[in-house]
Amino acid sequence: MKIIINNLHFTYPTGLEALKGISLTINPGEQVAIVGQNGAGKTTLVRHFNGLLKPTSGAISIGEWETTKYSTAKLASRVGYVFQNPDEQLFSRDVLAEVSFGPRNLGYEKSKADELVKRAMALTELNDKAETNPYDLSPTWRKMVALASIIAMDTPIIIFDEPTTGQDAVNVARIANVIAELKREGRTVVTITHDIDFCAENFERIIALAKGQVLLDGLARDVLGQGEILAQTYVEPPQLTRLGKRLGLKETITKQDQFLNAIARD
Amino acid sequence: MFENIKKEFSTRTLVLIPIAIAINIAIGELVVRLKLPVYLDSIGTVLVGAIAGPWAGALTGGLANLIWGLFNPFAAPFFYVAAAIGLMAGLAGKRGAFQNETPRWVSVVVGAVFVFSLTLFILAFINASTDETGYTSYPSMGQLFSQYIVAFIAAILIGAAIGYFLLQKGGYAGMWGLITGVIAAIISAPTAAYVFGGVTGAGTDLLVAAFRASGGGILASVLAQGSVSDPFDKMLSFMVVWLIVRSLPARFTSR
Amino acid sequence: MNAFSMYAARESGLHSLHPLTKILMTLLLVAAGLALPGNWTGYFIVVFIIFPLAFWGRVFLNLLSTTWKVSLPFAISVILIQSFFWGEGTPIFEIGVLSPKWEGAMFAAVSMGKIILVMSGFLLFSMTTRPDTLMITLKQAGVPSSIAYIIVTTLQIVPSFQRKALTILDAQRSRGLETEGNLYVRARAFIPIILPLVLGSLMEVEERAIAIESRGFNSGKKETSLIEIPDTPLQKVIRRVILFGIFAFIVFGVLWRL
Repeated sequence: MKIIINNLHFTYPTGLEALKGISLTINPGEQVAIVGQNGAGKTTLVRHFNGLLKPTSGAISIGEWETTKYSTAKLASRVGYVFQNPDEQLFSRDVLAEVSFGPRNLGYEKSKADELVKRAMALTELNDKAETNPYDLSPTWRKMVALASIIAMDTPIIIFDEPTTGQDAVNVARIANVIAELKREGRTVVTITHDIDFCAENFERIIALAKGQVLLDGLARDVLGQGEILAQTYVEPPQLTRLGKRLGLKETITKQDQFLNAIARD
Repeated sequence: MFENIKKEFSTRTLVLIPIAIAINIAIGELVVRLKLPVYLDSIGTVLVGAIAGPWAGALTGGLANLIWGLFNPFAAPFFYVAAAIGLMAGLAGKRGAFQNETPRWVSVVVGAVFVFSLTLFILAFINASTDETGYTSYPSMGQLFSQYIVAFIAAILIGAAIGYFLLQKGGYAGMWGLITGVIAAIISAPTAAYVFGGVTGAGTDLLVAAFRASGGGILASVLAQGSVSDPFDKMLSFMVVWLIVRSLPARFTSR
Repeated sequence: MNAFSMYAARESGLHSLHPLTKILMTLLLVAAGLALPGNWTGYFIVVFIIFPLAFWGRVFLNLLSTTWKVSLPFAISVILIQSFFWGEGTPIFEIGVLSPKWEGAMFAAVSMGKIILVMSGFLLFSMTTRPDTLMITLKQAGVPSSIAYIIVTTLQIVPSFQRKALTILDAQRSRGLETEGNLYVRARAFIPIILPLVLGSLMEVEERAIAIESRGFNSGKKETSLIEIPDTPLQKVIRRVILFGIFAFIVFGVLWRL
């Protein structure tokens, strides 16, 4: 399902102009990371995807749906949104019930819903925790419950807001694995992140925002290669990219295997 | 007794109280946002009563209204009502109202008895007559029963349905909420009537209007309004807390 | 400070008064308005005492608009109910069954006087007293530090709870939860929104308890404060007089009505 954003402006009731004319197209199945300093408009932008915010002017559509014409609860069947803090959504007495909440709201048939829940729990490695109270789990596992509860909604588009913040290395690897699987399923993934290393490893397209406008938009290695422009929005290229540059490698390095190949070749 | 009071005020309780007051305010505003026809602004107070005991509950309620009074001075004079609600929640908690499940038939009986009494109360109120000397006489029960038999049967059925579908397994908590609501209605009526002319500026004023229309005095109408809306509101608050206590993770309850 | 408060930062004589003097003054005015005979005493005090005080505190317009906002729903309600449902009385007009009575309208006007007095008195206090100085004052006046802790912490955390409730509302809507529609739909949304709020904040209880114990709370030692609240001997005398006045008004109010 295609996301088309056309000259989107948004001003908060406080008068803060957060988005100043953003135009983007995100194609079905793309893996997109959005980066930029705090206050660049990242969260404001993605909150338009499922109608939590409506444009002050301009338009955004999800498939053929213009978001102004649909409630967030309706748009939830097309766009899943994993909030940054899992504690802002968990309320069920056990993990299974929590993960089933979204699919039930969307009105899937019982058998279909059960199947979706089962797959989401397997993907997030929660099978042995189905009957645990979410609040008895560690914060990292609560994050996985939040992920599962959105993945189970089977939306063509999924948004992650800072998925790796506060997570240990094992869980970051788990989240990367989840994103890779979503890609195989052909679902669009849009992620807001400060974690530029995570971004370089897992995303093919990167959009850098600064002061409510698109600063850079393109393939990961093209965007991450432009260190000077990225510095305007206080983003530093990944360690590996900087290392490659210092070593004088010709191409812009974003991934480990690419680095090893380049080293071997040169 | 003082030993018990002291025991209730551990550091944990002390930390819990401001959180509970903030919960009161945040949920009170949420209810307005969702346009629900209830207040549900004492859930935090009831929660403290349930978890920490009656004195902590009373302190939470009293302080909640006094602090709220800095923004909406209307709340401050009712601080003693809020304290009574917290106290009652604590007493209910001591008797296990929030920890235990009750069989559904108990909930059915609680619901039926309550709606029946409410109907009796309202009909008696509507049919009261005042003679020239100002003496108010109320109709006898027998008269009311023969006159409104259908209404009473309907009341019992509706009450039973409320008990079965709404109270479900929390009948005992719901019953404590109803009793608390009745007490709250009685003790708040004089303040509401004399200080504020009998209105709250909220939707329940329509009920006051209805009772005034049927010939009740200001105090009586405020009391009647309170007895209709307060028990229902407090019943829901107690039910929600019952649900919260049952959803508490083992991590919290094991301490 | 970003606390839940109505404080309006200004430089004025009223602002620099000791908070205890101000709260006693407010209580005195309210006690006078409720105790003294006469239907219009409340209005009189508001116009001739509270409004000039608000001018002095440079918050007059602020006070006027806030009092108006909080009092308006009461005014509408009390006037409609008391005039239209008064019972026996002199009709203002009659259209079918609608017949508002003069006596009811008068009663409503008298009630509004008391409401406006209580509202504007306490609002004036809130607007001219910094929440943190209020706290220190309470402690100095002998209020137990636990009560002081509760009040100051509440004022600090309420804004974050309000924000959190809105975020949870958004998070659950993003999971397909309908929050608009008929009463049943809206009522069903209630539990999934309040449970994360309550459960999440209960999880913080233990951390906060450890935090305040490690700062020596409950140690039984007297605290010292960084902020000095200016007080004058004159104000101390005035406070005694006011306290006596409040007591006198209450006694008078009760005796007069017996």
